[in-house]
Amino acid sequence: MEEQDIPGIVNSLSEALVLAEPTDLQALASMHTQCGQVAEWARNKGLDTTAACCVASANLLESIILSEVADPVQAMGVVSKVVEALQGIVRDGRAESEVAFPLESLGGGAKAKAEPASPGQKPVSVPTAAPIARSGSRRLEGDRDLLSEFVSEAQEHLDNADVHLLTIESNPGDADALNAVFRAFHTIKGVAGFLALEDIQALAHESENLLDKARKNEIALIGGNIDVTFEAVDFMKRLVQHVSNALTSDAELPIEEELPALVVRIKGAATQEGEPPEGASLAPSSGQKLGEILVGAGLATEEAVEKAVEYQTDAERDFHLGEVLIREVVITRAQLEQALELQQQREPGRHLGDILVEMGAARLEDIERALAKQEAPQKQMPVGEILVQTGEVDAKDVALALRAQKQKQAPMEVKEAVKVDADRLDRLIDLIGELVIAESMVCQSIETLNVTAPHLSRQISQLDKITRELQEMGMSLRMVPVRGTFQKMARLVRDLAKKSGKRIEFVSEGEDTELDKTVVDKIGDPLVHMVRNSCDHGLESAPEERRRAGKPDVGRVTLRAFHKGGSIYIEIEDDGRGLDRNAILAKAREKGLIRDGDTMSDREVWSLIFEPGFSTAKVVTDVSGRGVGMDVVRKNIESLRGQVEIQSVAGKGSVFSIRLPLTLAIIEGMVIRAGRERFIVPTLSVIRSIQPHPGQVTTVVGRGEMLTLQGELIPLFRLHRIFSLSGAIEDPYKALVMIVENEGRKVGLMIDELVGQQQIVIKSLGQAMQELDGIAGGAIMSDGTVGLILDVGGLVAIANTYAFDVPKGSTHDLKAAVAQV
Amino acid sequence: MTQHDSDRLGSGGSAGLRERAGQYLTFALGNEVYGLEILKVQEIIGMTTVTKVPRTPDFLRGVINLRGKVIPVVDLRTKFGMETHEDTNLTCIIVVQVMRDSQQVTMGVIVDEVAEVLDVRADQIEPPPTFGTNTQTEFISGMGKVGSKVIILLDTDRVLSWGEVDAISEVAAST
Repeated sequence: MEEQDIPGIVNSLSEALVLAEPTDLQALASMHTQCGQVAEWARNKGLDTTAACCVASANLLESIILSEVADPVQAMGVVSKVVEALQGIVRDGRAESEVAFPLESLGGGAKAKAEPASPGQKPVSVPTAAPIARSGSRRLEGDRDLLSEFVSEAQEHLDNADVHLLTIESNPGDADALNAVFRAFHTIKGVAGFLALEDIQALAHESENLLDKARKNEIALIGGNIDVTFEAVDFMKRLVQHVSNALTSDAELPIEEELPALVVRIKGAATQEGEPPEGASLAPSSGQKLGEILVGAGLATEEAVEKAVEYQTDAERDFHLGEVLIREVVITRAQLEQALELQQQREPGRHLGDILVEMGAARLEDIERALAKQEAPQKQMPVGEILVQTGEVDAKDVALALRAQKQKQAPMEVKEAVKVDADRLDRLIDLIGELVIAESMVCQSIETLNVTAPHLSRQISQLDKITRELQEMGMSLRMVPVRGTFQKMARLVRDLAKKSGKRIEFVSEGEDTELDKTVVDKIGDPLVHMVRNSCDHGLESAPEERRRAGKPDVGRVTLRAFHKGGSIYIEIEDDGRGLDRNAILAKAREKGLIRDGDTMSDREVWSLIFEPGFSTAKVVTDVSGRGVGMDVVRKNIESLRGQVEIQSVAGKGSVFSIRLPLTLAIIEGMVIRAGRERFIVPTLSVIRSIQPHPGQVTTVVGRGEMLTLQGELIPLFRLHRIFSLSGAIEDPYKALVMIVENEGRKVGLMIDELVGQQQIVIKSLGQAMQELDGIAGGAIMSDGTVGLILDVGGLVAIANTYAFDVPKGSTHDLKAAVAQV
Repeated sequence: MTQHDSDRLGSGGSAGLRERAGQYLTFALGNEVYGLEILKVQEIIGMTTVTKVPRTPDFLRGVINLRGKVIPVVDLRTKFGMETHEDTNLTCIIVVQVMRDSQQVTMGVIVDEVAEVLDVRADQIEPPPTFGTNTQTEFISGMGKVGSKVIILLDTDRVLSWGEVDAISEVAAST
């Protein structure tokens, strides 16, 4: 603590005391810190009473923060007396005995604490942590706003910590990552302290200790230690989740029985003494040298690197002209030897260069260039090259090390972000959409098109341009990169590998690919399932099996995301054994899904695994093969209006490819007309439209109608009858029939006209009109009016008079999607 | 709610009516003048294209696009069983915020003409009349007499609610 800072601290303390309310936790917390600082200063100065009083004040403040004081106002008064006395000492330079410390008011406890105040005492500003008090109330005590802020912040920190821990695992020397994890726990500890979240504080404290030791290179974060750290992060997530739950349900925090055991484990990890193992001892600077990286990774011995460096610094300077020429491939070694022989035998005084020119082995300019090179300070040969040349290290390893070096040197770019309420964002996007429609109506009105004034038409086109840009920006606001989800998968693969004992390398590509936030949130579960599937069933369990197949021991799981043709693709690829066609077919026969004689393409066979209850895994493991199966994966993806496809080669691996729409808010819709009304049918559910020929439509029992199409009987419904619309075409041979899919069955819908196809922004019809049969939702059409999206399942249900047992249609998924928009 | 019901039955004390005092947006339907609590009114917009929604009660004219939000609009003439006529250029939509199942819902009300904002004092409000069972009056919260004008004060939350019962009976009647 700098001497000159103290008056400032005391002053700000007194100011804060005047202003602070006993409920203002932030102010109290900063006062708490300041008291600690003054106490430390006083202790160093030998002002024991002052130090003790400051410590007592800090304790008192802490009690106020934790609501342990009956009369906070009075307690604040005591603290302000202490600060008055401090001002006397600091500002007016009085002696300790001249000022009046309110020793009596600080109470017995404070006095007791004041007494042992010796110069060696630990400053109180460091929150004491370890004992997990089981006595206190397990209700949330702190300010609810602060608590919920804490929850969201802590979750963010923990997610980051996960990522950084993965980095540390693959590179124990990464100081940046280590610092980041440390900071995460440190921040959590600090805030949890103010909010009286004892469990969290205790766990964070121990984890922080462990990480601090790792930072100081006292211990290495590898093996068991990093596992403990991962465990701590997971446990912390759980504790934070408890707080979040307690906030919403007003329940008590549950008692975590396993916490003490974990704390002991963390402590154990932190107290491990001994030499940091290789790899962890690397200088944790971003400017690490290539040699160090190679040695650290165990790819080269230290001597080899030293030799190479020596060679690099010494060798080149003494290059003879001949050597230079050979390296430049001007002459061969034989020619050089011949020339040297000549020089020695016959013309000892003559220059080697002249001899070579005379021999015709080299041209004059070559010699001149070589001479210039020889004299000029040579560019040093890189260590890596030398190492490769001397055969010490593989070229590939050097390349890897170089890449690692480069990665570390590039400073991480931190993008600034503002958190915005999702509702406001949606509102903004709505308004932008509205602006676009209003703008296009203005721009396309006849009056505007007939504008003759050049400046006005220029301004209109400028307005048009800005509006388009705004629209693009608006669409991108909801887009978030898939990075976060992919990083979670990295963590998952790591855990799966640990559990199964397989060696798995996880590669992710295209992490910056952006998707609608809703899609990113929902794609997590199916991805977890598929990644598990790949790790657990896809990759071979024994390295021997992989070796026999000519593959490296370490299995590889690749997760990649990319844009293609207006859709987003997410692929999970593994280089495992691939899908077993025969096993799938056998299982399908057993389940009665296919008959014996069926011939099926690979694609059809692969899609069988999405059938409910289908699993070919011979052993049900802990990680997958229980609970939900691939059928749920497909359902989840289809509810996002996506599709899954599988490519697989036996023995080589498989690729699960998910195709997703760019955003949930926009669909391709077919605009149709029946009577005077227009409706929208999602293009995805339209199979085809036909104009029936006479004889194709037959009635059943005088009521129901059927359409015969290529030998298939399709139930036919007249849209205008279902919706009681007037003015529609009654003659089925003059109307159009749109064949749509409903629950895997074809249904014919009689309409008047197909108006066209357009991109449609889905809108909820709002609270007031949610449960409308036959209508999936609304949409804003290009002319600014509202269009209604048809729900085919609902239509069929209406058409069947006894509609109660008719299953709801597939477009109900769309209904669900609309509800989210 | 009991206070409310007693108001409607015409036997309410002055306390209930005092609650009804305040500013009202008045509008015309035919020759009658109605009032909506001003605090419930969000805005007034001109008549626009309304998309009819099939299989909904007749008085629900349809849905409109209010700056990117789809909101239902109710035709008060139909709702009150009055004779309907073509929209004029004075016809407009009053956008109101109502409570439905304890949730705030934005809705539109089609009226013939918007008049003015009136201050209605408690002593100017009388309980709603009763005309026997034939005329529905449960959505009338009171009758205001300001000067020579008689204003029918509407209970916004009630007038703009339609339960499952309405919808089903309407649909049953139409098929």
